[in-house]
Amino acid sequence: MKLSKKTKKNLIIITKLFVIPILSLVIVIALTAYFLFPRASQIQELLDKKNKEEKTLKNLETKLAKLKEINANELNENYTIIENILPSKKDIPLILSSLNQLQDQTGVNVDSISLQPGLLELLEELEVNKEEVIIPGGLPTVIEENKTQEVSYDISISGSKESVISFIDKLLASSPLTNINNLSLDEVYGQTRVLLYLTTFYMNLPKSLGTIDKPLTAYNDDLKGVFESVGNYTIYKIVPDNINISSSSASPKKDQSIFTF
Amino acid sequence: MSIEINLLKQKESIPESVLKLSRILKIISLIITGIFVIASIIILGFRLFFNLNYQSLENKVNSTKKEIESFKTTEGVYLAFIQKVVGLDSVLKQRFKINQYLKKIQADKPAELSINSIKIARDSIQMQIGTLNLKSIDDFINNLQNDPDLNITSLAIDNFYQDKLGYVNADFNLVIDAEVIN
Repeated sequence: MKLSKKTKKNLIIITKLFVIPILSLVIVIALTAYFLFPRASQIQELLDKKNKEEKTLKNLETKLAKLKEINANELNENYTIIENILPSKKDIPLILSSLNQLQDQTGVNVDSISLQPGLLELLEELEVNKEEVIIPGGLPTVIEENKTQEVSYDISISGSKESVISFIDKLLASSPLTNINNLSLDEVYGQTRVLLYLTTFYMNLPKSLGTIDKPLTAYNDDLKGVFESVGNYTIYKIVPDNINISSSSASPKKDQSIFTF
Repeated sequence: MSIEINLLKQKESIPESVLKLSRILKIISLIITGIFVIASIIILGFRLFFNLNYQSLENKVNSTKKEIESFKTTEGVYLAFIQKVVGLDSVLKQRFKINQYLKKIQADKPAELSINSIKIARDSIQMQIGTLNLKSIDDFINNLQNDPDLNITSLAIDNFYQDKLGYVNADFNLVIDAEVIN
């Protein structure tokens, strides 16, 4: 098929007048879209990241301000008190020592102590939050971080009625934190004999601080009240000053520091 | 030269309306291209701005993190302290104040009556009492029932024995609400 000269001319004119501008427009749009849209989505991503970072910064600044407000000496003193009241491990010698000292102070006789301590030091070695550990001859021990753990035992004491009541009063207001679950008291010829079923508590230290932007739990009035309520407790054993917050080597165990992120 | 003259001739032969349409099309193309170019510049500018902004934020965050890290021992002690106070709170809340019960019962007991044995658990108190005075038992029961701190929900005498000399032995069984006492 052969095109006439006029048709050819018309085609050239149409191409020059319409096709080329439309084609260049399409190319411009396509190129811009190809290069710009990803940039635009990157901006959105950046904006999201920026907002997130702003939030993180705000949290961190709040946390830093709170950390700066903490009186390190006061905290250290308070921690030492609470560590005595709620020890970080199942401290059987501490329990026995406090009973012994209570006996001396009140004049009662501790006739017998019966306890099944179960797992002791291995608790510290385990890197798990919760695990049931059964050792031969021992009781199953559930290890839970950040939860109070218990040691249950019973003791038999005897003495005058007053000294026995004094023993019970002092036991409930001394370290380590102990609850009396049951009491069985008999009076025989002016001598009072008591069987006490006790639970002493301890609490494992947290293994990590968590993420750095994790906000600090507020030491509010309720918690202050709780701490003040044990302020007059008799401390039977001062723990070694193994946590000195003015020193970087302060963690209880250097090799598995709990104070690491 | 001859080609240009030829094109001029051709243009002259195109209708004015078609030329107008072509011009409009060219202007629209130009405008759209312009818009896209400006948009590109704006977007790139924004990107640069946000990038710089983000980087400076990131630097601030990192420096704040470093500063917080310098307090990590304090934070660790604080965290441990708070957790222990919370633990202490939970233990104290569930504490059964057995010594208070003992003192209350001691206070409610008439002088002529003696408590030979007592067992106190979270929800019950069992007592074995002895007396030569029957009225003192009655007084003791009244005192126990009217003691607002004890909150006795039921009181039963499981066993009652009186010997020839008039000495009475009685086994009391009290059901208590341990949550009430303070």
